[in-house]
Amino acid sequence: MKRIDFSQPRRQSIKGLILIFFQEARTAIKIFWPALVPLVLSKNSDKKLLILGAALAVGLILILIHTILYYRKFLFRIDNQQFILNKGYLNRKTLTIPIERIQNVNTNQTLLQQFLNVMSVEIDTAGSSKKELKIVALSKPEAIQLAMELSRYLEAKQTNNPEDQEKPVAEEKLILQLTNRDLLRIGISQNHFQTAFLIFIFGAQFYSQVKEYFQEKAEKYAQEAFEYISQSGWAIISSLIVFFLIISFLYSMVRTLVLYYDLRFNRLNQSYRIVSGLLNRKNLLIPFRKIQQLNWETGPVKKLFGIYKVNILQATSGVAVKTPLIEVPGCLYKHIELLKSDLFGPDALKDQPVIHSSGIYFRRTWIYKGWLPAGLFSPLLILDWRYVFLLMAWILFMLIYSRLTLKKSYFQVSKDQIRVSSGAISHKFKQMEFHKVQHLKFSQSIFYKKLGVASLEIGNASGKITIPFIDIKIARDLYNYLLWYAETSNRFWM
Amino acid sequence: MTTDFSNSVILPENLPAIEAAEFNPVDPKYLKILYINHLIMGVILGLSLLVFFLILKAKIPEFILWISGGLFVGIMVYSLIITRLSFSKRGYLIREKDIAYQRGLIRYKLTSIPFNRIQHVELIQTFIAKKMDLATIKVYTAGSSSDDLEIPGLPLGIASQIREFLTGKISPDEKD
Repeated sequence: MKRIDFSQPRRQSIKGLILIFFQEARTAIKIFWPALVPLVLSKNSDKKLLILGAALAVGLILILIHTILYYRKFLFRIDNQQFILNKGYLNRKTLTIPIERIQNVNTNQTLLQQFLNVMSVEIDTAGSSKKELKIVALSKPEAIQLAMELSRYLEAKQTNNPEDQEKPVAEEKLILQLTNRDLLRIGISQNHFQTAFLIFIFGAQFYSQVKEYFQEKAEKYAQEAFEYISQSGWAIISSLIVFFLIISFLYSMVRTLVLYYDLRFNRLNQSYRIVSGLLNRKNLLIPFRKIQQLNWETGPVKKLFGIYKVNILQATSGVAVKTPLIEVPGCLYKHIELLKSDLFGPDALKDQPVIHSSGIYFRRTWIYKGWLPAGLFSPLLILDWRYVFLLMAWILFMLIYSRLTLKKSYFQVSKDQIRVSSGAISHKFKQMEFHKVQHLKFSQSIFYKKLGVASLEIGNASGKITIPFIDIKIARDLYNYLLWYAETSNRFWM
Repeated sequence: MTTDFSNSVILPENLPAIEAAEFNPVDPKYLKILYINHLIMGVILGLSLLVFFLILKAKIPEFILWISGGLFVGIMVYSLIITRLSFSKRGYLIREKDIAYQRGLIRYKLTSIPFNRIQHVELIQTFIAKKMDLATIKVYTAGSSSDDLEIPGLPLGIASQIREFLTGKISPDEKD
């Protein structure tokens, strides 16, 4: 592969013109379509066509000119340990990012990009918004080289050793690759009830939006449907549930395939690289040092297959931009062991005492999730007294649910890290090191003061870990200890 | 200081502990702002409730109107009382290496941020606060912006002092 000199200003691949054009056209359509609607709907037909055609032609020419100017003025280079991006033709904009500020470098290929054989490179810093620092079209070798160039600093910086800066990037080692059979298992073990519920909500929203446009018809159908449902009662409700479950099962399967197709989880010297996706091939590089927290979870079906879902949490960037969750489903226990030893060293928590949440947590969960909703729905009893069975069933279900919640609510600490367990039906674990602590929150309800329990929230740059309803003495001591630890630690935290 | 933390949760005795009593109260004038906010909220909620009732008047039995109205007034009065009673709980504390804020009577909350984790500090004055010479200090850490520390109801002079102090304390960029 020919080495590319990034110190000279470079443009995107010429194919970028096509991508930018499509992008900008899409934005323009999004903005201007409401203006075109009255025109399309108006009656005068021969003039209409002319105006419409002219408007489209002018629009396309404007977008074309914009695309060419934008493309020509979009220049990037690496200079003096800084990544410099120039863009804009009316307002010239220069973005300068010290390479040490870069959180990670990701490459990505959408379907269109796959077709054009180009890649986009996204540079993620902790501060700026991600869209700003995106190069949409680089030839594949160039994209990979740029990503390598930028992430080599990341790699070297971690080790804190100037000698390592000279070392070439280490060979990648494949840790995990998902086969189609794995994908099938992952798809099956998703939480279908949750998805069904989401689809139901989405469907209801969609329905209410559509209803506005087709008010009369919809009302008539809805009326009929409603009558039908209320006449045939439970049978129809249960078949609706089954229907939504089947839909959600199919949805989960497709989603799993699209997101995790041929997922490869690689390990470099001091970072992970995850490549995955069917239509949109994502390529994420995650330096160990930037990782704030490791989450893993298993559920009833996942347990059957012996698989875990792993989330690797990094510092979230920007304000409005949601950092994509780095998710590796279908991990085996040995993979989690490996991740833990990579990130947290030898397991110091194994022999630590397990500290459980207070039994009050059970009581509160049961009241909040069982009795309270049941109480809110109690007016249903006026309609039909038989709803009492449904409400009782809910309260009973929540009794078991709350028991499980309490059983799984515990944590272990060592002198420099913590592992918190939570969940009810599923079982979740979160682990982080104390030098990543950014904020601490202690909270206590007046009702539990006498009982001596309090909750603790430990924040890091990726979010927070909550430990609910633990002994107040433990909560206070941990609070003071973690604060002291974060203040005296001089290890890099983000 | 020892860090013999590994065998039990019992910590070294001499670990600096945060004592609730050491906290500095916020400016008493801030209570007025809380009342005003309360009033605005109450008026908006009350009006929307009223409009809602006027539309549905024919369809809803009268006793439900009375119950909801009573509930609304009850909740407003209750939260007004809680606002008053919990006011003395509000306080901030700046120590050698961290800043803390506490509030809440029914649900007591205490938040701390070490100076070396602060990304930036903001001083904000709402319209009403400006009239009373009060200000809010917001402390941001990296990543999520929702859980940062916020100290409202500070006299402007003290607020700008705190901002200057904190800005000076923010560690220079990571050196490694």
